[in-house]
Amino acid sequence: MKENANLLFVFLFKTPIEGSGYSLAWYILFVFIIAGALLFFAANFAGITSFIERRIAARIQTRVGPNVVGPQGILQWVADGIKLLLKEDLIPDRADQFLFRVAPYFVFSGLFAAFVALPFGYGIVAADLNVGVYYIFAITSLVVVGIIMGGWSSNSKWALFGALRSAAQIISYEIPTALSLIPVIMLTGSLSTQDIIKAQGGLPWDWFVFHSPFTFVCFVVFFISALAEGNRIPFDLPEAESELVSGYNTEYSGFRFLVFPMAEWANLWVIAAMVSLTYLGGWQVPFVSIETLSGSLVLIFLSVAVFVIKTSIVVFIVMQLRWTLPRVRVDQMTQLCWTYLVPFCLVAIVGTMIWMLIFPWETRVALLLRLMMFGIGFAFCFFYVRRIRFNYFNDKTAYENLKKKSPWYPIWRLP
Amino acid sequence: MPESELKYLKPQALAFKEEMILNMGPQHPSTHGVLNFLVVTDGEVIHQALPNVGYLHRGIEKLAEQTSYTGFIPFTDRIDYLAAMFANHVYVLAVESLAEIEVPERAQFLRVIACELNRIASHLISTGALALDIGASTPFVHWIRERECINDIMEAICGARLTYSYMRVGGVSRDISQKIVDDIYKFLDHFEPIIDEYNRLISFNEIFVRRLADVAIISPVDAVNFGLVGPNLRGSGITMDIRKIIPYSVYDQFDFDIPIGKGFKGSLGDCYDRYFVRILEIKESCSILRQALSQIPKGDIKAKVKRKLKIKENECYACVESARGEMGMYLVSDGSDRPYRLKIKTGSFTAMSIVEKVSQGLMVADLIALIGSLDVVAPEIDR
Amino acid sequence: MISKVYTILVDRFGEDALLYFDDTLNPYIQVNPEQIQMLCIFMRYNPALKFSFFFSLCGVDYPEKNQITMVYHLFSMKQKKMCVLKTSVSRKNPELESIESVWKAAGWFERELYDLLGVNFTNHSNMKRLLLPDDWVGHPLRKDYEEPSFYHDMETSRNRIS
Repeated sequence: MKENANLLFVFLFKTPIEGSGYSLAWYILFVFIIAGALLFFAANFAGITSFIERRIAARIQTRVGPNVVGPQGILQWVADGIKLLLKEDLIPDRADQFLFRVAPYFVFSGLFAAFVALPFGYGIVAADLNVGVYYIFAITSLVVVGIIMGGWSSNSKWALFGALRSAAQIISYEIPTALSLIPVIMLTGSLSTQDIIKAQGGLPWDWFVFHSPFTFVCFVVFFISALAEGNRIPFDLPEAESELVSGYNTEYSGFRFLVFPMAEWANLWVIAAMVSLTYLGGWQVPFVSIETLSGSLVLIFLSVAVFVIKTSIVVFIVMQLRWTLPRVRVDQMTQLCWTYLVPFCLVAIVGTMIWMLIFPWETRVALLLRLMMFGIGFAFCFFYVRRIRFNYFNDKTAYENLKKKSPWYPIWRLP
Repeated sequence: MPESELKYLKPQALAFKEEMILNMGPQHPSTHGVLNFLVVTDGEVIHQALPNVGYLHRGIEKLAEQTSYTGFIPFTDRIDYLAAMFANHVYVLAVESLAEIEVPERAQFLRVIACELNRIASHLISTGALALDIGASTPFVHWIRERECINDIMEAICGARLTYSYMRVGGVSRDISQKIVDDIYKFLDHFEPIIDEYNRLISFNEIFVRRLADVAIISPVDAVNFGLVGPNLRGSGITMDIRKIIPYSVYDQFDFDIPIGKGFKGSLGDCYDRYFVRILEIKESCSILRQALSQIPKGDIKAKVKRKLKIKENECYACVESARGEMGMYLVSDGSDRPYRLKIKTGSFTAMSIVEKVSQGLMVADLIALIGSLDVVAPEIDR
Repeated sequence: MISKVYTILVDRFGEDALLYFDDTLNPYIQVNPEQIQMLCIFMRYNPALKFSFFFSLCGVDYPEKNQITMVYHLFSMKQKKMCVLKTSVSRKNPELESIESVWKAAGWFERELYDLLGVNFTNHSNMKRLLLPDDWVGHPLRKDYEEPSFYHDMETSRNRIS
């Protein structure tokens, strides 16, 4: 007996794991710490994003938004979470009890598992998988399994509608999402998220999005299909609140309900991080090579900041789209996918291949073309900002004419 | 669904094994009030949608028989809470023509101003709610903001923001001051550019256009046959406006167009036409308001009316162009101080009856768009 | 005005079926209840009349005359005028031919009348209550209607609750 215990102790604490100096117990501890850190980040991000989205929506809609709980309402998401936790966990009569209970876990685990392969900065990634990108897409599809489970087991026709729409959506949009990443993978030669970022540069014209017109098309396609996978407007068909009451989560309440919106907002980070790491240069700091980056802790923190800023901008754009656009119909959604996005992707893949052969990355001509592409992209951004500015000032003057006072948005106020 | 309801479905329904019955409403976000649709669907495709109304039936017609002529005016607000002024107007028109009361000119102008403001407010809700049904929430909030300005003006005019009871038999309840006139001008100056902004935001949005164009087409023949009125009828391309055809009040003094559907983005009579006709009507209402404000004469605002109104045996049918189309009241008097019978004909009532025909073959999301574009208000259907 | 319409109608249907009254604000034509459907078809499709718009259908209960009067308001875009038709049925067993086949819009008005006044329209595609529940007793817009004190074992009067 004592010998067995000794053996177990040795196995747990003394035997180093192959390829590292730590024993199994430490290893398990590390895994738990990292998983906890990721979970902490994801849950808090989801919560804070829910608050920020509501404030941004309020600003877009000339409302005030939540501003009561905490300073400027910043604790609103905590209050919402506590409220939902205190609610009764209601399971409808004649629902499939087991699947109904299990479905939120699928949604939850599917999403948070995706954070494992997401990088946050140079070398800051839980697991630098060599199939990173495809791991993320495979594992986020688990969310849909949860949605279908929840929708079906609710024994409500609205929930079933939502679930089936979600199934149709994921079947359609997995394909352009995967296809639109193929140019990136061809350019990198790897599926690892770190390698993809390392293959790009810090300056905008070294990003993959401006590599060629074809990758630009792929970037747009990827962004659209990522929106569809994340159930964001204009593709929030599974949860079309004006058509399907609340879609797949109609019958949920309490904490089980909380998981669904939380997963949706955590998914926002996954979408935005994927967009920024594959096409927008990830954590690459401008004018700093990877060798110097790896040496300095300050620069690594800078890389984290760069990545977070890029991702936040994408998150903001996704939010802005949500509060601007209407929702597409189901048949239009699939039609858009199969008649536009997939063929565009296929063309773009072939185009990128040819482009890579004619203009290899290192040549001067390729750099020139990338600069030109960057110019076009910059013009897009410029007009985008100008349009928003125009509408903003239009509205502001209209308000001033009517109320004889200017709308006052102090800089320290949150969005 | 209860077994008793099943027998009202038509025989061809449920012929396919794949069909299911969906109970849409009475608590559904997009039914614009308490409405119920029995929807027979095959997946997303609707085979039949049966409207089931009556959840908001308050028996206003019966109440009229027990209330005095003047005391019934507040009830008319509750017929259509989004456009209460028109129900006020048509009721007092009916009573005045029965009692042979001459309304002072200024009161008539005030009525027109109040009605047109209310028409704008109602169309704002209607078009905004349609955008909300399609999934865009921002246009609705922007329109609500503009409607709030109108509500403020209405509050200044008649003291209420929603159920106005502004009209009196023989005139209106109060006069408007120069400040209110200036306020209305200021609002119009502010509001007319906002319409263009709104169009940029949602009306010409590609997704929005594709969701509405060529959806739920109502042909002109059907529109007349089913008795559609107002913007729904004009969306099908028929120039029918009570303000022009049977001019009441002082509408014959104003110069305005009747916008009709032309198949703006799709074919004639689709949801987009009905939607866009409303947007154009808002602009026309602005022009009517400007004309009315510039021509408003001085004078009394209320004719002398006996306190206890008794009307000898007679009957009449009065109709106005409400925000939801022609609203008519058939009033029968019997010599007492109460109406003998009051029949209220509303636009939503007939608009609702066409849903069953048009909805066949639509998708569930299109049904929402159809209901939104028909602009039905549940209390107006049930009264 | 309406008298011109009346002369056209009399040419087709004869003097004894139609009576013209102008003692009210809107002059009306009293029609034989048997002929209402034919008359409506004639009025809608006759090229000289073209009353294509159906405005409203109302029923008025007259207990002392022991009859229910149906009032049809039709509108002709061609002549820009409204025409009022009236027809009376007995209160005891009111039955009238439906004009749903002429104007689809009339379908719901007839259902509403069936609901609130108890007039039975024959040849109607879906003759059932529209606004009230299917198991409601009585027809509220009749003058002698008395509200049942119980509906599904629920009290309907308000003053006894307190």
